[in-house]
Amino acid sequence: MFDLIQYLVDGLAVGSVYALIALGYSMVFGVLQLVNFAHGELFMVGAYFVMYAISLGLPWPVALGLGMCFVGLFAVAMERLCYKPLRGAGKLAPLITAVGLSLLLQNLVQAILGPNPQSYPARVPEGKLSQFFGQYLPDPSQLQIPHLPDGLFDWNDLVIRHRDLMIFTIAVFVTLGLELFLRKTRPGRGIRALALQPNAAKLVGVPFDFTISMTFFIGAALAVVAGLLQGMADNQVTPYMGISSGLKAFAAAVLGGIGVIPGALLGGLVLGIAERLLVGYDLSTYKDGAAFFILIIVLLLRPQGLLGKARMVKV
Amino acid sequence: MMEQLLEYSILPLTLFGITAIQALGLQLILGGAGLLSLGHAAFYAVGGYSAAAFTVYAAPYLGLSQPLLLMLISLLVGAGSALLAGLIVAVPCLRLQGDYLAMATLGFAEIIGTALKNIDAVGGTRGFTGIPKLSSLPWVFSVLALVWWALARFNRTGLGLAIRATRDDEIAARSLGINTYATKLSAFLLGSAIAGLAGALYVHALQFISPDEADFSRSVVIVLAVVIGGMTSLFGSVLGALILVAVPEVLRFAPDVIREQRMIYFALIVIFVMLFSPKGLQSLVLRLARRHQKNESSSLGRKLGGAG
Amino acid sequence: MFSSQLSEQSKILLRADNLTIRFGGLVAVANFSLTVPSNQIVGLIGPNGAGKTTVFNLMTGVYAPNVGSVFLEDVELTARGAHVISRAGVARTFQNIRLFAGMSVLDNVLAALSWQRRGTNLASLLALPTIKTREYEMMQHALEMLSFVGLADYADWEATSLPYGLQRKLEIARALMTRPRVLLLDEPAAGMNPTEKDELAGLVREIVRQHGLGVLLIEHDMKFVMNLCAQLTVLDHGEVIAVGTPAEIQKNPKVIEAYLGADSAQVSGADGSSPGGAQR
Repeated sequence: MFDLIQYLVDGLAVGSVYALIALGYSMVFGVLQLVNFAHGELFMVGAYFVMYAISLGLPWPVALGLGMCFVGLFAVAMERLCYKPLRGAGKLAPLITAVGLSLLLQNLVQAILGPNPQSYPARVPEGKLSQFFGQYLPDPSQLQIPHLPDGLFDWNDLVIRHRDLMIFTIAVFVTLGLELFLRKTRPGRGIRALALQPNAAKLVGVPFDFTISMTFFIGAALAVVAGLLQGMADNQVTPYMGISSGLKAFAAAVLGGIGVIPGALLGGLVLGIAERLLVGYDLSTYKDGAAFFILIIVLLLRPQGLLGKARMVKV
Repeated sequence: MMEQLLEYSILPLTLFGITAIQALGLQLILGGAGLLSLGHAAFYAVGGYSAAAFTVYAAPYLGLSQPLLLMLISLLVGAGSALLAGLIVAVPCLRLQGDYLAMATLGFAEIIGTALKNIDAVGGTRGFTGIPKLSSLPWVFSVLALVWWALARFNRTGLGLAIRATRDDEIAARSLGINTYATKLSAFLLGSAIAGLAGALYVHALQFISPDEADFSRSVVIVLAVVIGGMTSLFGSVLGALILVAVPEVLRFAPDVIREQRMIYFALIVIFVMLFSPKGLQSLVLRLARRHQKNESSSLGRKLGGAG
Repeated sequence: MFSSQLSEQSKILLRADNLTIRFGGLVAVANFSLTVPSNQIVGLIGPNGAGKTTVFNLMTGVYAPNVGSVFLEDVELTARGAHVISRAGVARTFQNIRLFAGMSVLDNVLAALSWQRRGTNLASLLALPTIKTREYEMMQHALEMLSFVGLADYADWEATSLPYGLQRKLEIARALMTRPRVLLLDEPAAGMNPTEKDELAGLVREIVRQHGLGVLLIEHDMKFVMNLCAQLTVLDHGEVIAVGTPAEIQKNPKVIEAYLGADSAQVSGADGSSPGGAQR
């Protein structure tokens, strides 16, 4: 019983990272009904970007801010170049393009930075790149590498790591902030209007393209936050981290109710906790299947997801 | 030289044939019924593993050793087990709307992959080895031809017509007395069974299968084959399979710079095909061929519409 | 005249009793009752948004009513699956045309026969000779239906490349292929010019004459409705406000108010033969 509580607490941190990625899936799906399969790769690119920026000697808030802007703009460019031309070409074409983009980003990063996991401080792999960057990269010993807090809360035998608590708190605040942004600000309401009634939204003057770009930007920026947290928590980034976390985050978004912001958080936490439970009870080989098992069960009982609302088909 | 080339091309050709059979099965589900299955490779893996388990474990017990008979039965086992797996997924999931089905099939594939990794009798994470060599290139191509022919006939049957009607407009189809649930279910099951056939051929040609075959990335490859080729036709799916197998193979012979990064070029090709011909390459071919004809008929349509 | 003469040998086919459906808090249709006899054309009219199409959706199983029932003669159809209701003998067309876009005109019509061929799938897959004659018969039947509605020359066209008026006729042909006892037509004349409308009216009369069907018709064109229908039901804000012969309806003050009050543009579009216009 005691273990159970411990695993529940441990699961919060894992789930929080899923939740931060899931927000992006959920928002984009909300406005475009598109599963942006490349979103997991934005998380991965963001994790690399921030890691390198920090390894160049930038303070972490600057590195994070730059990363959010860079990856956010990248996502906007991706939407403009690859998804926008396919609007009205059915649902499948943009979906396949997204899969293609995901493959492309994964392999590009692997080609440039090497297939092996990197940890702080990041080094550029041998070759022309490292000759070029070598002169800029400071000596690792002089770097201030940021760390998540190492401390522990210890109540009897229930141990909570400060860093897990911090990750969880960040996820909750980001979700709340996003929900507030969507409800209280004009651009945020534009996103919601577009998700609810695209035609009516256009009629009342919601700038369509701008709002979509903003949605992509915000989603990508949040994925970068997730990337930084994951990178620091594991002290490792790989070109493949986007695939597995991305798929599970997407599952989390669907589980919570796609298009519903608190749903993404809830879905992420449920999946994270479930995984921790399996690891805790020595069933870690079933970990990857579990997320989807839960997803299928929930979908069968509540097709619209835990917090989603059912939609009426118009004839 | 010639012999070497021939020998070298046997594996890619076999893989092409198997991918083409998988793609034909998915074409029925995706292009035919309009259902996005992101777990097609899982049904293929279920078929492959079951067929292999049959020849390795069940066949000696039953005293079967005649290769031709064994292969035929294992094809049935492969198709049957994949169909059964399809039934388990589809009966509940087909009641869900479009995007959720994609998610549920994707989830199912992950579960199958996880399960396969945990079954020691079929090799666990190391993969299933020691499978007898029963199939070969001629087998693969014969089955491919048979499946292609049968599907072409099937599309003209009542059920084939009902499947396409359901894809185009489910509400209209129901208003004509078509039981759309049963129709989608049949398409899904048939497509899964065809994937199972491909699995049975694969394990007995390569004498090996690993849980990676149920992987999401494998399912993506099949979806890409169907969509890149053009999902509304059987020819398109086979064309797509050819491109997917051939492009990486051909890039192997390209200069080093390109060869090492062939997945990047491959991804770029996928994106460009979608951007410039979202209905697939098959339609690009047809569009060029029919450009003249189409112009004529659409201007006629405009004339008639204008009179109205 | 023509219609009254037929109505003597007609019996009630389709019956809706007290249908009510709510979407969220909104009552879209309340206490709706109506009968459709054989050999007769019944009209369902009302301003935009009155709930006419929702009534069709309730009768054909697209929506399930919260209250009320639908019968075809003695068979209860309430909230049965749409395909079950179609097989029982109620066919319909759609206001926003719903043809099978990826298929030819002929295949659109053949699709209605597809489930009747269920048992024959294996035989036709193997191309058995017995099936050849059956397939041939079906093809013949489909082609006859196409020429009945005047689409014989377009059999191999892509359905959605047809001009608008012909698409509506194709929907009718497709619905008729199910051999219905009752046919529900949702704004069949929308977007047609006067000549096409006259043709369509003739076609609908011919359908009733040949097959003894009961037809229920939603239409905004008052001239079209008044000429064609023996009986009219007027719907406003989800409720029946009047039932009667066209002549009675034209004089009914409630109806006039509903139209003029709701949307006078609607009335002016109907060539002065609208309820309001007839008053003058």
